Amino acid sequence: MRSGPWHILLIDDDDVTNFLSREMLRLSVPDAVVVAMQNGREALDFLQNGLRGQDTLPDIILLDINMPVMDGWDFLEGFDKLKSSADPQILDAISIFMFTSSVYYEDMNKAKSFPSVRNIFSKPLDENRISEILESSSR
Amino acid sequence: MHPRLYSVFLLLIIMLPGALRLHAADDTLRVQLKWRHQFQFAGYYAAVLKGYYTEEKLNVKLLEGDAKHNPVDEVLKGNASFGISGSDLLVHYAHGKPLIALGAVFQHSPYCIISLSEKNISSPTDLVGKKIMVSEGQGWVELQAVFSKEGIPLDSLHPIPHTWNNQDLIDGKADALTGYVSMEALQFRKLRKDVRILQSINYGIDFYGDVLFTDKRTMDNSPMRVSRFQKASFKGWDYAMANPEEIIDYILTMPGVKERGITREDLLAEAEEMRRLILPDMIEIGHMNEGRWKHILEIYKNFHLVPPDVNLHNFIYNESKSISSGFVRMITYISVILLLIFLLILVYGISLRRSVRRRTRELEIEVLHRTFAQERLQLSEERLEMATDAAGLGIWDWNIEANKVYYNDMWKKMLGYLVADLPDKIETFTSLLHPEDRGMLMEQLEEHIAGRKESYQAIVRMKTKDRKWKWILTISKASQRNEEGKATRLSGIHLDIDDIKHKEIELNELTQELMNSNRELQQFAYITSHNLRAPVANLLSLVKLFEVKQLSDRNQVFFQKINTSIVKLSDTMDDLNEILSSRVHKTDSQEEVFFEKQLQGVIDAVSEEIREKHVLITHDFSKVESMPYSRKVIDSVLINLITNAIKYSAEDRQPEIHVQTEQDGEFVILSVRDNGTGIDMEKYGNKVFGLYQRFHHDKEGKGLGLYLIKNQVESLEGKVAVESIEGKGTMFYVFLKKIKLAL
Repeated sequence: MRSGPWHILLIDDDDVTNFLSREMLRLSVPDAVVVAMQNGREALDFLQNGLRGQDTLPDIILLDINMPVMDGWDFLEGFDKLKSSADPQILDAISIFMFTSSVYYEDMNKAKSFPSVRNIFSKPLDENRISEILESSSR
Repeated sequence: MHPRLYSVFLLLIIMLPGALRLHAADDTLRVQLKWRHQFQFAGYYAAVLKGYYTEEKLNVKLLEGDAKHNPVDEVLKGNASFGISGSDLLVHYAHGKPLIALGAVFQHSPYCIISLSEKNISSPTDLVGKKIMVSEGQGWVELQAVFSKEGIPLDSLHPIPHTWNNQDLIDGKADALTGYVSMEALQFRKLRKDVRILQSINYGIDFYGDVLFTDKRTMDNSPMRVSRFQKASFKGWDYAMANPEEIIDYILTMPGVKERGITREDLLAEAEEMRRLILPDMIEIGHMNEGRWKHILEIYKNFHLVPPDVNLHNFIYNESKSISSGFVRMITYISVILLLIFLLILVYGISLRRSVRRRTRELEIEVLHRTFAQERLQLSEERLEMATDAAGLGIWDWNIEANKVYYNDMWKKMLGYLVADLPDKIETFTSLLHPEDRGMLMEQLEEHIAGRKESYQAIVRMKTKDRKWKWILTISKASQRNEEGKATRLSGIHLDIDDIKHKEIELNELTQELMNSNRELQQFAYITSHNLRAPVANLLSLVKLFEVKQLSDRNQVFFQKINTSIVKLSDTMDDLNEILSSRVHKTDSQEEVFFEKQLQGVIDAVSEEIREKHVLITHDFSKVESMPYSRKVIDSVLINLITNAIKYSAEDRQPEIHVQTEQDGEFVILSVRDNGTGIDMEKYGNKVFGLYQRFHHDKEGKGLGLYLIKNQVESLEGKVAVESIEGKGTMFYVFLKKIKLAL
């Protein structure tokens, strides 16, 4: 069990989205530590650093699907690989939420095939959604 | 001359006092047959079988003939009293042999020259320099006359000794052989060999065929026995020609017959062929015409086959002369006999004339029939030709065994060729085939010939005269198969479908193009709606975070309008996305969908509303528990119909929803019944499934669900229907088209 402020990782190539997510989170969870990455590659690098103790690992990841360089799905595969190479319990504590412009049926099914994904929902992020996310993230 | 008349004639003579000089029928009469036992001697067998010889107190022994036993020699040597020979009997007589012709059984000579069709020998001229197997004792003399008559020098021929082995002709050891039209010719036919036959009668040489004869010694010894033998023999012949089957039965029991492989059918065929030579219905068996013998003699003289000073004196059997002895009796009887002969000739003449008239009439009728049949045949051929021409049908017929092919004119014309351009062989077809189609067609053809396929049909490209490819529909059916089921003859049609095929190709290309642009459009719609939605979502959040209070009153009003517009835009984007994401295609993945499991999933999803309104949901999936379908669509159908039913439940009673399935031919009907507020069907009936249709102002919702269901189900070839009574409830029927799972 961890204590202290929520560490939240945003993975989205859209700056406005990241800005807004940050603002919304600041309103609901003022002490949250929010980090934003532009794509899956950057996020994986960040997580690897975290495993080496150079960065703090997040409690929650909000993951967009369509991104350049490495999209959400590829990130999930990379994340699973990372989990199998590291002490699993550390990464198991991370809750991932898919966070996309519009949710398609196919995306929903695909998201369910990744056990790390807790849920998938559409933008924008609002107070209700945030409390839902915090509730379903184990701490 | 009728046998009856003949008998009277004989009887008269026999009864004349003193004319009889009875001899005891103690010693056996030997008859040298010309060849082995066969129908050729049926009359003699019949005379034995029916006891005609016994009746005449004659003890007769029939000696089977062969190449070594020439009947003329055998009779002259005294080994036999009687013999059977051809017209060449006269040649022997002319050379001083004391022979007497007793009667002609064959009115026309059966001798013929047989050659294989492939040798193309169709006239005597074609035989010049060719090897002919001949036998002096078996018709060669007579057949030589044909060559002489045709102006062919006899030394230009190449006769070789007859082996009496038909195989020698097949093996090419000889180009032709002499034989009997009723025997050898039939044997070749039995071997299924196509042969050509030259008969002397067709070249103006009309000789007698088998002639019964004796020699002077036999005659002098006992003229009465000769007379009785002759009479009984021809009586036998009458019987044999009237009852051929009975005699054939008897022949089949004779020694050596079956051993030679002779069957009933062979003998029947022989009998039939002989009937043409004997003419039993027109001419009395045994009849001989002195004039005809004279004519034959003249022919022999012309060819220097006999000495020039020979006459027929003593050659033709004259019963009265042989029987009467003594001058007085001779005078008496000769006058009586002359009278009788005169009468008989008269009667015979009348009967002959009558039979000639009858035959002529029969022939006329036959000719008429044939003309009529020919006209009908021609008419139907013309009609067929008109029909195939009008339909542009190419017709082909391939005799595989003989490897002969027939193509009608249209077959060649449809490819732009002249009839003479293409040879009538199977290679013509295969060489014109497009290389890419050849393999496929040959495979089909092989299957078809082997009998694994009853017929085949293929569309192939064939080369036209101007070196283009034309689409041809070729259909074939084996018209003949052998015992193993292998096709021996194929026939079929060709149809020029070039125009149709080109249109089909065009249409396919067009469809492909349309599908591509449709897919692109859809892709475009996805991308735009998805990409548009992202900034709209951002706008929504930005508006929410905006410090409205810091604006002036006037700007606050503007901002409120901006906010309303953004919310509306966001809602519309959501709907658009939902519609796009709900689209299904027939090619989408299908799986076995279990209704109960799907329903449970939906109930779980809306459990909160169910609890809130105390909704009772029942189901009956006993008729159809599952079906292969798109899980997404069934999910969408259930969630939309159930949320709809909950949304429009009546306030005054517990909401009840019943879901069930049933079979309906090519569909499975999934129905959802509720006891809700119902829909005014008269007012909204045709709008229920329309986009943005709502029937209850007091309820939230945009009426998107039913529109989605209808779209999804219809894109999978299904349909939707609704029944409703306002205030009582609604029942939705969803017809799910059964899908065949690809194996």
